[in-house]
Amino acid sequence: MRILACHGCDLLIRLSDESGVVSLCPRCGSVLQRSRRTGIDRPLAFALCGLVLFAIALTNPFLAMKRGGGVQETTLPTGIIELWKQRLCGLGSLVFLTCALIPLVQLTGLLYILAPLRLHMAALAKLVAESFDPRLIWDVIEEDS
Amino acid sequence: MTDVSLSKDQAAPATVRKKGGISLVWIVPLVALVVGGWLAYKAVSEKGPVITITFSTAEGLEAGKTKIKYKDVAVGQVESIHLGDDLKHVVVTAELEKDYGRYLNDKTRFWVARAQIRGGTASGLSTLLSGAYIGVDPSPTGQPTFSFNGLEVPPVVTSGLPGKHFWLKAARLGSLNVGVPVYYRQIQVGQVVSYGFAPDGQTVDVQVFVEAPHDAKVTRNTRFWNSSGLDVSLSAQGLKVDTESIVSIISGGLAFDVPDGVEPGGEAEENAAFQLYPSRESIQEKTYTLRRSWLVFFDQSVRGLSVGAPVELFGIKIGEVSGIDLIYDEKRRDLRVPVLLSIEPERIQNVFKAIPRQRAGEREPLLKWFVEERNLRAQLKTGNLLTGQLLVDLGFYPDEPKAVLAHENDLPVIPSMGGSIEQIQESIARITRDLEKVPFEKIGTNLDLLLKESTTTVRDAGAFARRLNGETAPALQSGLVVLQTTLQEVQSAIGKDSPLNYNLKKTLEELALTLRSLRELTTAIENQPQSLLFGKGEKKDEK
Repeated sequence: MRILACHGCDLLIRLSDESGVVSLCPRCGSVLQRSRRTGIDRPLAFALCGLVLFAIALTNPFLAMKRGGGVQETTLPTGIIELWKQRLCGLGSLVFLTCALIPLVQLTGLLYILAPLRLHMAALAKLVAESFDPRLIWDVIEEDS
Repeated sequence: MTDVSLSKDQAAPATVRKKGGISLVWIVPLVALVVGGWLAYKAVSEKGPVITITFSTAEGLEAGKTKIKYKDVAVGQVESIHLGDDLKHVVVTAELEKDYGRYLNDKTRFWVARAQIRGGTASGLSTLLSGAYIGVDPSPTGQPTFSFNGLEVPPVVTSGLPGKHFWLKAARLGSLNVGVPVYYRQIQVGQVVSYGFAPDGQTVDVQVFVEAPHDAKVTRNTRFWNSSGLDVSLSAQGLKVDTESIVSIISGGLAFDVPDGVEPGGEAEENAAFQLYPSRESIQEKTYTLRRSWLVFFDQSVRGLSVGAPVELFGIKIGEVSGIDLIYDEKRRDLRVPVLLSIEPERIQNVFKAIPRQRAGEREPLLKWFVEERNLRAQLKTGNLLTGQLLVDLGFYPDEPKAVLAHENDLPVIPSMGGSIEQIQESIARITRDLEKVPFEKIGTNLDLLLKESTTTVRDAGAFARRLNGETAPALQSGLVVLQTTLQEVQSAIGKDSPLNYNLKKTLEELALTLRSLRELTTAIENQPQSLLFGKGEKKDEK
């Protein structure tokens, strides 16, 4: 909360902390400030999109081999399973972690944090915030939100 | 510049107006959702029906790879292969493409297409390279179902092929098999589809398929015969070899045609049944519906007579032997050979018109008349010199003693007569007996005496000849010499150069001259008769 004098009529005005609003002078109507929208939308939107596309990427085949009379397709899960079946367990685990698990965790984590904030579910957001140490996700938290 | 020392209470609250609108960034997940949703919808809607097919083995089949093909177009794919619950079968789960759902009914057949040789042709060779696939024969009609029993071998005929099926009844399968060709006038028009036992288990049913448009040639009066191998027949006309094709020699074949002289009749229907005849000749035999059974008792050996041997009357077949037994007759205390004949009276034309008036209680008056009045007898005769087969020959023998038409077991008994072989044997026996009667010893003794006499005679004849040679011959010789001399003298006396000849010639010449002058005289006298008196006058002077 800040106080400033309107540049048009010199009235002392108390500004609110709301984000994404335009503050106007009550007397002369001149624009005092435009506050920025919170930076929650963008990461949230991208997280959602990422999740959808992740699902698509995982279920569609990314490799197909045409041999003789048949075509053999493989998706990421089937590839990992095949690696396990072929006893390349280390490689299979590595692929699973880097290509499947960690991205999934990241995306769902983002969703988990940002959705309650955006939807203004204060109680839920409080719960979320208390459930982990925010120092773990520096890059997500914006400075002025 | 503001002065922050003023207290909050003096400042007025600002009018706040919310910035409208949603951030544009939400378009991105929206697009992603749309795309994802559309992909998901597409995947779900294009999912075709899932079916299960049961096979006995999964050899050549691979989950996720093996395709289901119809006319070499992929219409589905195998998704997974599992063992059946009872470990006796393999259950293949496959997904077909969307549009083919309407062909999934109980008449559609699935099989595994592998390379194989059948019926003289090799098929499915491409599977050697590309791996086996599942073939399907869809049928548009039938009860919808999603689980199928796969065939172990591909069916011979697919349901889309136009044509008709027919059933043939045979006593034995012979050399027939699935895929064996069916010929009409030596052109292949179909093939054997399947075979099995008839419900009674005594005959074999063979199912054949004849392709359109040739199936129209199979009519109600058509006869099918087994044309496998070669038909070799040796008859009075010579050696005849008959076959349908090289393939049929090796792998068997069937043929059909209408017997000579019979009208084709209407087209046969689908699944009509026919009798399978053993050879081309056998289809020519007319079939007769009426049969009578007769009995004959032969007192001689019936070796060479078999069931099916013909019964002939005047050399024309009127029936065949249908049973040969050996029984001990208690009443007669004798062994007898009853031979059962199956006669088709219709083979004798007009036979039913000639029945004399039937007296009450009399059975088969015509037969009775033939047997009793005309001496109809049955005899065994050699039918084939090569094989020694016998046949039953009926004939009329007026010289035989009379017999009565008896009945046994309600069947008429034809009296039998010794067969020709028997007769030959009897004549031989007779001749032998007669020969035995000939007094060979006496003849021998007489012959001996004769020889002795002739020796003497010959000796005398020899002496005579020698005498002739020694005495008469020289005399004859000198006589001949004399004759020769005489002839020479005669020759010189009256021969060509002899004086006699010469004188004779001369005399004749003189005579000729005389006659000429005589002729002149007579001419002159004729002309000048006065010259006789006056002589030849001086010629009138003409100078």
